Amino acid sequence: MTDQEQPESEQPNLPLEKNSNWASPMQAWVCERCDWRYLKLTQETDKLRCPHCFNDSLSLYEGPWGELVYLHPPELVVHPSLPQARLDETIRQFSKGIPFAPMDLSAPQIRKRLRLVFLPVWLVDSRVQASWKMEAGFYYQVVSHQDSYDQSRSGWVSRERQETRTRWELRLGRLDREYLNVSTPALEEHRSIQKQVGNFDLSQAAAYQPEVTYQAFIRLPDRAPEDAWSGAEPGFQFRAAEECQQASQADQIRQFVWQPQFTDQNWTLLLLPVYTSYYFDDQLTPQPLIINGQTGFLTGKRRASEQRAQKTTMILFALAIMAFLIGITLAAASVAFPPALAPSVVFTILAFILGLGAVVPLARVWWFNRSQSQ
Amino acid sequence: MDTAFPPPGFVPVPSAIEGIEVFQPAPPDEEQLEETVDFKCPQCGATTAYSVASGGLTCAHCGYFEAPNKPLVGQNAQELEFTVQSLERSAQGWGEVRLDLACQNCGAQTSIPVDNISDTCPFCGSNRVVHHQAAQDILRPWCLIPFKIEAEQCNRIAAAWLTNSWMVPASLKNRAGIHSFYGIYLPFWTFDALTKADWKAEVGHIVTERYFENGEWKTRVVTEWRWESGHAEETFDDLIIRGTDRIGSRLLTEISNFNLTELAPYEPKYLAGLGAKAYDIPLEKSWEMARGEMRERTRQACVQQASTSQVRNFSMKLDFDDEQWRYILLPVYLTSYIHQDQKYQVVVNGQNGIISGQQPADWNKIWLVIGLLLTPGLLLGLIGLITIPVAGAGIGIGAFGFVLLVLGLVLSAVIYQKAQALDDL
Repeated sequence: MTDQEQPESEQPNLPLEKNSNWASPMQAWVCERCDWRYLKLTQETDKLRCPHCFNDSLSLYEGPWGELVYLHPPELVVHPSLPQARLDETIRQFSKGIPFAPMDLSAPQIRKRLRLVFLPVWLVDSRVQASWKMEAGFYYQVVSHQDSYDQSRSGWVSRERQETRTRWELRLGRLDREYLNVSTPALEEHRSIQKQVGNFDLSQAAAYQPEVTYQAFIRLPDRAPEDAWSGAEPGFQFRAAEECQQASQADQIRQFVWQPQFTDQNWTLLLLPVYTSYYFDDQLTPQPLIINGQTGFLTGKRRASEQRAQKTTMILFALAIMAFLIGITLAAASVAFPPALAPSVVFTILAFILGLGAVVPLARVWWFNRSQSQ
Repeated sequence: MDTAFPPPGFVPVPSAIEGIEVFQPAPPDEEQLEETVDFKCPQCGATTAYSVASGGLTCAHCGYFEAPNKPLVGQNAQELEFTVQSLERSAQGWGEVRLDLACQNCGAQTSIPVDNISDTCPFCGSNRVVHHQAAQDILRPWCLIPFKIEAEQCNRIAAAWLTNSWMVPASLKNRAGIHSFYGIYLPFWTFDALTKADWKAEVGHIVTERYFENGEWKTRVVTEWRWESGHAEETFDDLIIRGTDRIGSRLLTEISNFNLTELAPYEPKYLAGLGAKAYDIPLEKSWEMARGEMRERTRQACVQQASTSQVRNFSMKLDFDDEQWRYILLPVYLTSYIHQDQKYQVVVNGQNGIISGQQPADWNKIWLVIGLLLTPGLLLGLIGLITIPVAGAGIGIGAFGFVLLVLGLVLSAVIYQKAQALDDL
């Protein structure tokens, strides 16, 4: 882990272009609507749409640099390893099967708007000195028996079986260890995002290389280390408990408690890849979707178009009225010309069927949208 | 960080990771038993021995007394599970046949059987307790019941026992008694288990049924068999099974109602001056014997659940749970006496004085009694037969004689069986 230091407030307005750590010139961008902040290559000249809410264009960040929590390059990056074919298939599956889908909801459109975004996670290194106590479980084998008796056969038959039991013993001790790369959320929305895209395989993380982020947005953390520490401590405890189990050569442990002291802390970032895209709904509001860049797990609202359904309903309804009018007219004509009575009945029935059928598109869309929101 | 680390009562254990110290509670029974413990009076140097009367180690020479260090634990004494390790260790046995010992007092070299835990030097009379290499492991006796009965009391008990039956020879009754009782701790295993059984059987119900035959309705009694099933659970706590086959199993079974609430933690001083044997029936074999008893009792419990006593095609599946065992030493007095060149064994429970043993039967006396029991019936039967042609009363006399003969035969059979049991060698 590189020994990075937090940007100090005495370095205000430090242009990122001059920060050679990134190995490529970066600019900070901010979405005024959702307040997500990003780093992006400076040569990007097009208007950038926020890859999170897709509502507004991003603005160049003009606030004090000290307000940005962390500007150094990450230590590790999980590469977007999702194959293109699987990504396409995921998007295709998302866009199909929607009744009266919005005109904008199509796989090619979503694919065209795909953006790669890296989400930050803190990695904490620390030296830990602690006293600890736990119950260590050791497996052992016992011999038990299951007997059966049959009067009409051979009498008693005994079957031996071995069972594994756990002997719990108290263990305590001290540890003086250094733990590297304990992860903790760097975003306030980390949990909700993780719930949407699922877990990442952090063992696939590799050292940061600038070319990975050329085309990507890099989300800036919004949790300072002091806020994120509460999430890191359980991670340290988990690592320590695991090591104490190994040190005690126990098969299981329970009720691990410790009194730790943390020193020599070092905070860096890990970047996780997600793809984002969007489609416009009836109200031309962007509906964002987010895809795990490793597993392809996609989350987004699938909305059916009420406008399209209404249009279809109106057409069917108009046809029903026309059929009804023809039917009435033919009925009137049948007074003078009796053979017109039969088509008059047919048109009236047709009008009735079309009138009823006109409700179906609206009902179907309502039902689909309701089931999706649930 | 706590400076006083580890807390008292904890000992370090090897850690598999550098930078992590690991401590565990100090094992309570870490005391290492010396391979041979000699009992010498710390005051006068004479040999000390366990005194049943005072319940501690005493010196007959100067009156020195040393009480046992540990209080009674009773049935709370530690019980162990049937680990693979303990069964394998028990199955190995003691290996050697005899153990060579050098007396610390007089230097004499003696050889004792390897399953002897205690010994007295035949040259100087000093007492010692021997802990074999295996003694430190789980198969050393963890507790024992100290002797409560003195050898002198055994003499009186044995004298009363010898005279309690008319079947023993008069010469035996008239002898002064049986002496030379030898106090010895014998090995026993105790077993706990919970048995859970599911059973199924055909149970017979007596029913009266009507049937039509030859133009009329009749009734008859028949057994109707119906399938029944059930579940029974039996709890066994401290089932005592002998750990030696050196003493007849009948004798040990008859005296084995020990009160285990008086179990004391093992201390060598309890054995000073007394005999003590290690087990020669291994744990697995004893457990097999205990299981046999447990499953038979569980089977009976299942059969009793049936709605009648007529049961056939009985089958059951039995699970043993919470199986635990203990290896203990129990106090027994042993002696033997010779009557007409035949050796008879006698054992006395060293805790409660219950006696069991082999007694010779005086078969002359027994046959005489059987003869006397059968004679009236035979005589009256004969008289009845003779007098039938003479007078009608002969039938009554004959019938009465027959009844007496049957009674005589029944009593004779009972006496014969008792005599056989008495004489069982």
